[in-house]
Amino acid sequence: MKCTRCRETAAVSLPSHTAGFCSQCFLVFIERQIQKAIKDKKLFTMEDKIIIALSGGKDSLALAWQLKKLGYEIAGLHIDLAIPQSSPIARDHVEKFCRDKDIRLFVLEMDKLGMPIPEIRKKIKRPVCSVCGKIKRYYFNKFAVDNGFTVLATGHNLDDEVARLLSNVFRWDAAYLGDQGPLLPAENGFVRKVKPLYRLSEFETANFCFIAEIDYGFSPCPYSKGASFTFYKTLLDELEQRQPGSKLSFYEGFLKRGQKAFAQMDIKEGRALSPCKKCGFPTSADTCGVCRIRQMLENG
Amino acid sequence: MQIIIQPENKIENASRVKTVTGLLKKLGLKDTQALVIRDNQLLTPDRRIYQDDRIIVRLVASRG
Repeated sequence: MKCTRCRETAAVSLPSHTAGFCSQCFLVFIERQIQKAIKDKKLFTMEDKIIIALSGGKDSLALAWQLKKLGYEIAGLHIDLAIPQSSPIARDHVEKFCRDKDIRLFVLEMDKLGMPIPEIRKKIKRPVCSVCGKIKRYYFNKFAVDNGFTVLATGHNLDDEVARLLSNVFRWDAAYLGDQGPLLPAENGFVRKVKPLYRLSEFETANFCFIAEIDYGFSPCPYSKGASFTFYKTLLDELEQRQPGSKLSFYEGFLKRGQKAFAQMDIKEGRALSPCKKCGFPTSADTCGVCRIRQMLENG
Repeated sequence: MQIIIQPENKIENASRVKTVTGLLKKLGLKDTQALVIRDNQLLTPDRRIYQDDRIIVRLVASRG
């Protein structure tokens, strides 16, 4: 297979774009996809102060690498979840990456904040993934707001977004469908949230990391085995194999024709947000989910 | 042919496989579920592979 741009031997084949690229042209392709996402969806500008949620995985590190290269004002935020089997490995990768690339890094330690994930897992009956996600979203947002960042960027890729969309559609969850997308504007105590990798698949970000020599963490969370999103991703891979391009077209179609309708529905039917009685952060209940978890841990 | 499957670094041997597509099929993978690497070079599904090759198959799906 030859590179679509320069006719050298291709290193990456992309059936979804009916194209193949050599290593150098693939880097150009990725940069253009990210720039297109930023421009088309008006995610941020050179004037924004951007904090990137860095997990240590391929997507968030790829995002930081590219935004740094494009000259945006960025810093990284890593949350150390205190999971013995995976957190030290993830943190090491993030710290090394930021040192090498000269990116300012902040680390929040859940152990020191009284919210270690293994302890929470022991106390709750449901899968810990949703609670862990809630805690991370809370602290990423709080840190961004408290420290004057105008944008919180995450490394969610096309596979993440399409798996989430499919899951939300199966439940016809209007509230979740209404605020799913690569841009969530700043409002009601929430910083602007953006997903500049929404046009790129996991396959593409993995190839990108290999070519750009980004050393990312392979260590999966030991608690996420059997997570429903992994199953949805497998289903969607089958669809993509038979109909290349279907993931992006499903997601873009939703953004163009579905998302606004669900957002309107949620304004009419959804619950209004008010400040949490304990921490002041926006919540639809009296006390936010994170403060309730903290209370549960304190009660033993 | 020695196959190293990452991230677990599980080692397998494959014989009678002539292309990257054939190898992925044998491993039960789709073309976009793994990177296939030989001598630090990425290989597209159409590329020939040989009995003496040492191939890394790096799964791309993230979990957690």
